Amino acid sequence: MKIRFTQSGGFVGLVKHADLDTDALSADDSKHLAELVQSSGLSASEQKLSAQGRDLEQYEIHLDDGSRKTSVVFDAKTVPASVKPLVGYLRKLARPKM
Amino acid sequence: MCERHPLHCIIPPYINDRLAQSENPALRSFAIANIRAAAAMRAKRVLTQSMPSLMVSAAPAKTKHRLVYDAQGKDRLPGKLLRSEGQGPVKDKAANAAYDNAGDTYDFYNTVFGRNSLDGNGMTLISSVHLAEVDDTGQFVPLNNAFWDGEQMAYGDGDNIIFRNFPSSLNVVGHELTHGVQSFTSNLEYLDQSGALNEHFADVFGSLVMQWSKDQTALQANWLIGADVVVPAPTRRAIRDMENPGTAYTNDPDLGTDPQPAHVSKIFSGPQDRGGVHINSGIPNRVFVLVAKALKGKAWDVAGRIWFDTMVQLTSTSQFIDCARLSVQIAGGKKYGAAAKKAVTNAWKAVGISV
Repeated sequence: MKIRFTQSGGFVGLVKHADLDTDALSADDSKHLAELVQSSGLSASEQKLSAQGRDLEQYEIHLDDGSRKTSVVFDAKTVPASVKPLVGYLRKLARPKM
Repeated sequence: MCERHPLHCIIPPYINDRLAQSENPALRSFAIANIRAAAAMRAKRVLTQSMPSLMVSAAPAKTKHRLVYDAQGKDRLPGKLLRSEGQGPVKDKAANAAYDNAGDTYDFYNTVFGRNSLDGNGMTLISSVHLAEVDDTGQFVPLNNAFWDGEQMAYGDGDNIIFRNFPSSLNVVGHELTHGVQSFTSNLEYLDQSGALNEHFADVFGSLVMQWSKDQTALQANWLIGADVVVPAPTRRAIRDMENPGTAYTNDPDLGTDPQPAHVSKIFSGPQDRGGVHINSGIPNRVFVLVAKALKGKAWDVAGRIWFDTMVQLTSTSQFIDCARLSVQIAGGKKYGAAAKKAVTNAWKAVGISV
């Protein structure tokens, strides 16, 4: 599975990216990430952003398992509870473009 | 829950329309009342969707009224009440900082612009400290951010590696509260150029409240945003530099390089950050500093008043050119005069916007 993650916004307005391929990760990391994706329940593309929030972080996640592509956009206020651990994982790996 | 007559909620509009034409006066009166109630409900729904903070209750005496909550290292707002207006300091330093900085920001708006809180009517200033976010194991970790959620301010503790002490920064608190002021005035749409203007005004008044508290002139101010919340490192000195956009951090391993443009020719047009609201704000930020330094003296005296009037008169979809035209028009009014108009016109021209 290929995963593209972009974090932006927040008070700072940072833009960070992470591009992952579960085939290129260690067995443990690949399994952990696959579990996070599965438990997130993400199955349909959607965009949900807070109308009134300001300086919230924004998260874009693109999933491609070879047969289906799913793209979602949330912010810190609208991200579903089931997706938060996946965002937490991807946020740790995301890096700014230098 | 429906607060109206239960029948008002369930009778379809086409039946009400037909009943309003009835020959029976009682039925006609009932239907007309229904139609009026439905219209009022629709208006209320539209209004609260666009400005939900209108639903926030006013302070008891409609004067300075602060409440500070402890989110207790979780991600739910507001949390447990720690300090209310008039209470002395508590043990929690972050709570005291949020309380004091919200008070300074209230005093700044009230003294300089005659504005009584965010809504102009004494709205309670609610803050939560120690907010957290979820990591990949489902555990809470300190939030590396501060935000306005539409009704209140929220501050994380930071990771102490890149960021720290969000509520201790008057810059940050003034910035977040200005988002609140805007939600009751121009309510600039948080997207693309209108969103960048929203961020710009938050930076301007976040900076001015700090200058006001230190009694600094425009020439003495450092015009940095968030210098006190970044953990010092050779590659970073602040979150934004209003005077020199794009120079606050360079090749930083965690932050990268400051992407803010200083001229419209370099405007960011990607979808991230809601169309670059924190990125393109660098352009009008530079304009404001040029105006303030050209006029010298205390920046809140003239430049700040022109910008406050501009902020509250813009509409939700205003673009940079609208802000430029309105600020030039306001600067040219009797209150400010030719020198102010010239300074504002020249500043916009310096970033590539001619009025």
